[in-house]
Amino acid sequence: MAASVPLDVTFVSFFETEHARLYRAMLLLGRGHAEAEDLAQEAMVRVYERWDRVRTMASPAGYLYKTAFNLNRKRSRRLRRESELPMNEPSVESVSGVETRVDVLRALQSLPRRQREVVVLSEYLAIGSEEAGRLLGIKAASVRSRLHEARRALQLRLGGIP
Amino acid sequence: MTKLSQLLQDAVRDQDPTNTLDEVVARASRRSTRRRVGAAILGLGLSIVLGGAFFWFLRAADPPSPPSPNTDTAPVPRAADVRCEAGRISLLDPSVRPDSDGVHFVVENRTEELVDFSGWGEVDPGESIEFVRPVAPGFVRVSCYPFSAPEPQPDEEAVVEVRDVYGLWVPPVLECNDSESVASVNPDYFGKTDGAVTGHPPSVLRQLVSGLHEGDVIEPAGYPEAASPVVRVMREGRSIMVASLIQTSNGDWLLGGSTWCTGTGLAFG
Repeated sequence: MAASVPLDVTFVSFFETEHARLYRAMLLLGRGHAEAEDLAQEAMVRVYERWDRVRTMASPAGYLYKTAFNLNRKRSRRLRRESELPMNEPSVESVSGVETRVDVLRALQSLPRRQREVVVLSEYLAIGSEEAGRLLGIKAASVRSRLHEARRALQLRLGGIP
Repeated sequence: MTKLSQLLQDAVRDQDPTNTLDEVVARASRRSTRRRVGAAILGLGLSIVLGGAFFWFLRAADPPSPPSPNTDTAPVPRAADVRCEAGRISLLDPSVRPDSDGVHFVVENRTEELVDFSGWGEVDPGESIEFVRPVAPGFVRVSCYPFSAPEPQPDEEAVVEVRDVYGLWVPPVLECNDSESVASVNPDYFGKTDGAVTGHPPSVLRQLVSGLHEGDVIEPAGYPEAASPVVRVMREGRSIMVASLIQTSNGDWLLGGSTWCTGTGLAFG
């Protein structure tokens, strides 16, 4: 007898696979704990609401990350308007403990948002430049170019990144 | 993995979200309720304002005709012809029948910018591309996704009915017991299967999976000639594992992804 579950099992599996990764990606984009939680939750809610069609997409995870990155951009624009704080100076209150971790996050957050996005997509989420370009609405060549610039900047701050 | 990737992984490795799936569902539910209430209030208001104005018109009009029945004798095209136009999507026919390798969508981009079709791939302006996807029979929503817009708008989405007139589809769905939960593996994230695995898809899965019982049956699922074959493990009449496979250019097979019911003893490796 098949189980009668209240939730689509494919969404449950998707949530279990992607939620923590998404939350961590939001942290790497420079959000504090609370905001990263909220962005990750909001993106998941939007995917959940559209799951009947998102599940048929070639890359449901791609849709999730595109949604989350768009939400992050909108929120950055709003915060900038409200506080006039530079967008690339978010807090690092999210990280405690090992100093190198703080250094990595600080270095990452010193990058312009556009470079930070491609670093998180390409280096943390291991998404290829073609798909990353699709998610960000830019050409793959632009992804590679931004990534190159970002790596160079990070190398200056952290040193020794191949 | 590059050193930068490793640094990023390490920087957030111990950071876990506290939000749960239940909270996601609850948030969606609250929003849905607010939308329903808002829509009801708006609908009521519009009814009051417009109802009087259209009263005579509605009384004079003939009752609407019922929609045409969707008979099996009507010809169903082998491919869905889709046109992406500026701000809208159109279908030549609202239904399509699957082929043995999946459902075919011929997508013509009549806009002046690159569009993404349903997250399946890009179509250049003025180009036409045929997509073949293992879409289950039933209704599927497709969209033209212009890159200048953050999300498809309602007019850029359409619903296609996939009518399996030849009975090609075998559902690749799990049927777990109440006491079981669902486990999944996506090798894109955890590293692909090593080593050369050969044979036809059911025998390939048999080589990859441990914990099979003597009476377990591994059989094709989805569409029989899909580019990425899907197979399922049947035990005592229910499906307990579904897996997709990818064939490399040299004929070996890789595991594309799999879900299975925990408690069945199945595992990879």
